[in-house]
Amino acid sequence: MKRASFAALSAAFFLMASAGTFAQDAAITIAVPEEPAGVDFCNSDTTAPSRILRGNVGEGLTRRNVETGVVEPLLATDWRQEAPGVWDFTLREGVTFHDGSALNAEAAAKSINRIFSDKVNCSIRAQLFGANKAIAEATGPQALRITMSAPDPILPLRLSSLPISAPSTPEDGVTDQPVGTGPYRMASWQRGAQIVLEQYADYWGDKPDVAKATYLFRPEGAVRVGMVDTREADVATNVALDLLGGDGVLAYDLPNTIIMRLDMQDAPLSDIRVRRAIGHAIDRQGMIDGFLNGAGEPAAQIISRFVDGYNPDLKVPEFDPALAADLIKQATADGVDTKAEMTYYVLGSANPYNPLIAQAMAEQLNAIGLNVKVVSLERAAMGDILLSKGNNRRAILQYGHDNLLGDASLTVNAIFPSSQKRSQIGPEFAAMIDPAVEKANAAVGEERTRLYRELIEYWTNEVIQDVYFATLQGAMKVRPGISYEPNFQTNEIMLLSDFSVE
Amino acid sequence: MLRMLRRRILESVLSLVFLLVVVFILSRLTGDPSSLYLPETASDAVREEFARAKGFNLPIWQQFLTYMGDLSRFDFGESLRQQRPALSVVLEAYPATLRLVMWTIIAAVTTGVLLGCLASLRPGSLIDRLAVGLTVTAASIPDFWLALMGILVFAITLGWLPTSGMSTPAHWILPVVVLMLRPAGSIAQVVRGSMISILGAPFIRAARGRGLPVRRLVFLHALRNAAIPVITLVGVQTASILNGAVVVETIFAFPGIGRLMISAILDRDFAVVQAAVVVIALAIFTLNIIIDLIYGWVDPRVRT
Amino acid sequence: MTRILKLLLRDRVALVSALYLVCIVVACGLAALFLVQEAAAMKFGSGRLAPFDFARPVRDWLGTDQLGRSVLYMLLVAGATSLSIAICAAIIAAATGTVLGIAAGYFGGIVDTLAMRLADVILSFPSLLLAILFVYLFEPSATNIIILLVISRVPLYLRISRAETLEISRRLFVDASRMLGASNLRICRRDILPMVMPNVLTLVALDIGLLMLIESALSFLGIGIQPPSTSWGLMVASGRELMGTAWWLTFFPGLAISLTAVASSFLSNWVRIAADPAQRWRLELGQGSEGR
Repeated sequence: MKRASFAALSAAFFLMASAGTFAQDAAITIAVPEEPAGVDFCNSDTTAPSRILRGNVGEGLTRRNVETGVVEPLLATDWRQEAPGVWDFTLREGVTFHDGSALNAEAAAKSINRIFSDKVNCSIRAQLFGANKAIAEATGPQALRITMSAPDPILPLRLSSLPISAPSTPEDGVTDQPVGTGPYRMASWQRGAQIVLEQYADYWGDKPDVAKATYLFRPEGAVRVGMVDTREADVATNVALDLLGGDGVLAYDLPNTIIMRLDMQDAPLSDIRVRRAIGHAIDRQGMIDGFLNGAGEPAAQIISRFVDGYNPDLKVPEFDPALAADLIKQATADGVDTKAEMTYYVLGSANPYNPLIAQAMAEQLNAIGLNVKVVSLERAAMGDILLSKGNNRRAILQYGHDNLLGDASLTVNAIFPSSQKRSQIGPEFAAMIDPAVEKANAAVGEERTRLYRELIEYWTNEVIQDVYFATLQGAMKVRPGISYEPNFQTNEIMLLSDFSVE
Repeated sequence: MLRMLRRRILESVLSLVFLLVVVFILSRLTGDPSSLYLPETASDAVREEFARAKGFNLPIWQQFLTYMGDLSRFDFGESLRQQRPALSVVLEAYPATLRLVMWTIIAAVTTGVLLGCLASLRPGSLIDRLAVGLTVTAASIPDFWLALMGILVFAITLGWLPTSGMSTPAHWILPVVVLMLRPAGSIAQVVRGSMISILGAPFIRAARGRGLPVRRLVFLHALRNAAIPVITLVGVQTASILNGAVVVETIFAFPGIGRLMISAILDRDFAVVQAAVVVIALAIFTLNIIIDLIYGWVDPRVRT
Repeated sequence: MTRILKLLLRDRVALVSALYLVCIVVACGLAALFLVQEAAAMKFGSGRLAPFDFARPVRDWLGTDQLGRSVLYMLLVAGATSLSIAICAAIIAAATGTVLGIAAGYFGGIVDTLAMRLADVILSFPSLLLAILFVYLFEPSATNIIILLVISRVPLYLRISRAETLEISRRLFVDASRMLGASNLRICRRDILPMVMPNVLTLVALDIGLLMLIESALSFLGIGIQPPSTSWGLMVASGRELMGTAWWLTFFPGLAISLTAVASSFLSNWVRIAADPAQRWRLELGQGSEGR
């Protein structure tokens, strides 16, 4: 008995040891901050599920190139706009879902129509399409036609954010066993503890190095970093920017702009000189280098450079506190009450840097002659202030704006029009902005891009509802022996196939 | 006995209902959470639809009546965030906390009794003073700080223990040690006090003075007497342990009910908050009733 | 006063604790008056300096945070917040709870039953969870936190003073006062209150540390004191991401909390013995409060 078990043990040991030397079929453990609320593809628009599922378990018809941001084929090999609002897609041959069923136009249509169904609560619908509705139908075995209720020149771009699920996905509610076409299938989800992805043998594309990934949920940042140090994990995401420069710490761009939104209804923010002064009062680069470890870039406009419609000609306002103080004095001389107390709202608990940024901002604004007090709020209260017009509020709101779609229309339509809850502009600006937004939305191609750029320029230089701080980077840590090239999509889409293990 | 039991159960139910009403009204007063569940870009129409579907736009008393009606059918509603029954969410999280609290109580009672006995052997001696100092210190260290320092020293720097998670027994060492220090300290103090007063009683001294070998018998007798205040203390300390558990679960990533409650409150996930309050309150009231029962069994004076 | 001092001198541990508490209260009080600006001063270039480099100016002796702010100064200013909240809440809770408790014990009846039911509910439920709920609803601010802490501690004072009152009001000397025509108020004030005080004072001394621990936990979880104000718990929370590299950001505030809570605990032990005339002999005979 004893000898047999000893032999078995040593055989097992030998097998395990030899398995470890191959680079292929490696298993990695990733420590992430947040557990997804759900794993259905139709709710994969927030970071927690998106990071695990997109590109790994589920794939969309298209994807964005990580270097250029341009839309390229994925599950669809070709597409064409037949008529305004009507798009035809040709689907790739030979692709199967994790349950063995084939990817064909019927399956794709079913998956897309499910998003719009009343029986499933899909957050991705509002996020991607807004009020627009799509009807998908199969016009051939691999030919898919999508008809939009309003013309949509960037449908292929939108579809890059929508993973296609198998026809076996339930129609009457969300699923907790997503079935997609990606290189990995979801092997298990232990709620509160971890999600495990395992390689899908019949994947249509290249076989990745990593065969198995375990995502552990660890809300404490220091614990995640510590886990890489103790080898409890191979990768830790969302680590403190202060660690940049250390071993294995990688920086990646985020398509997120930190904005200070100004309530323009009341003095002193109603005076455009005051708003301009705020732009000049901030030492953006000094702050980034001073306590953000250089991990970011001053922002000149509301969208980041990874978004189509970005205006490369806009410049960051010069850091010139003397000029800013002068502008304030001019406004005061004209009777504007520049000493009225303004409240600077910031989201308290989410991100440790937000309060630091807020305090630095308030100091600089007070230094030029304004009267600013910082107040921390929690998410729901912030939401209330963000989405309401600021009459008698005198507020400056610091928040981060994400444009993950990659197209300016998302930002412009959400923020600029005077009918939007976020809008703080009065009738004179509305008269200029509202028609301009409609015109840009209706245009196509080069013209469309040009119109959005003009809109953004007007908004940034003439309206000044917002003052922009910076686009920051994020940081992650990998243990020695793991290599990964981060890109601007890393925070939302972390492809396991991009990891290689020695 | 039975009458006392019935009275206790009635009291507990009343307290529970009271708690529920308070929690319900307070949580609804914070306004509708649609801004948390819908993306930034959602239009007004979408928001109104959401509020209507979830019933947030009805007057509070109407929402409450609907809620009480559902409760009577054990329907705690659906978690806004996870889109499945709130009760399932809470019951899944419950075992982790239960195990954590159970191990903490076992560790605390064991350590506390040992330490208390040790200290009571020679009152005023160095060991005694050390023990008292230790227990006071243990009760004064903030648990979140202790947890962080514990991870820093034992996991990250020394590498003796894992940092977080709850998969192996080794994972439970740090969390349980952090949680049990304060109750162990209190228990030790009570045991020490009780033992000292009994060991110092005149008839004991007289017996010892006469040279009777009563030591072990006396010790056990004293220990049994100390059991009652210890049991009281465990009941009282449970709420305090749950407090610590909230923080410990967050830092060590235990998927327990404390952590769940915090995130449910942050997410304005009403159904989960209320279900969690009910489950926690039920557990505490049950524990109190069990303690009363144990009392009755241990202390013959109560058994009327 | 001198008698109290003499009693204190007999117990060295309590003496040290009292001295420590006095020092820290004074230091934090002064800091709150004079150092607030200094504590908030950011120096971008001197971020994350390690402590104990005595070659540097005093402000850097306990290190600096990411924004270059002095940990030492922030510690003192934050201490003012934490301590004032704890002391205020302890005193208010003690006053309210004692009055309610004496009333409940003395008059009895339905007031008594109701008060006890309420106290039971509040005491049995984990205070932190109740606190989280409350603070979330009413916006975290120092005032609201004090209110919340008071609500969570009043039941304890109520129970203690009620129990004492029940025991005392049956005693002979109370009956004597009543027969002499003393009003209820007078009886409560002159006969009952002094007997209740020792226990209440003991608890107050203990509560200073305890309430500070609760406030720290709330601030740590992000729902207590909000930036830009600071408290010790908030300092620990702010520094926790950098625990591995800038350990001093979490270590010193946590140490401050622990030391203050320990001191308050030892002091409360002493108060328990010194305030009770029946126990005072232990101190007067020089045994210290530890021995029996």
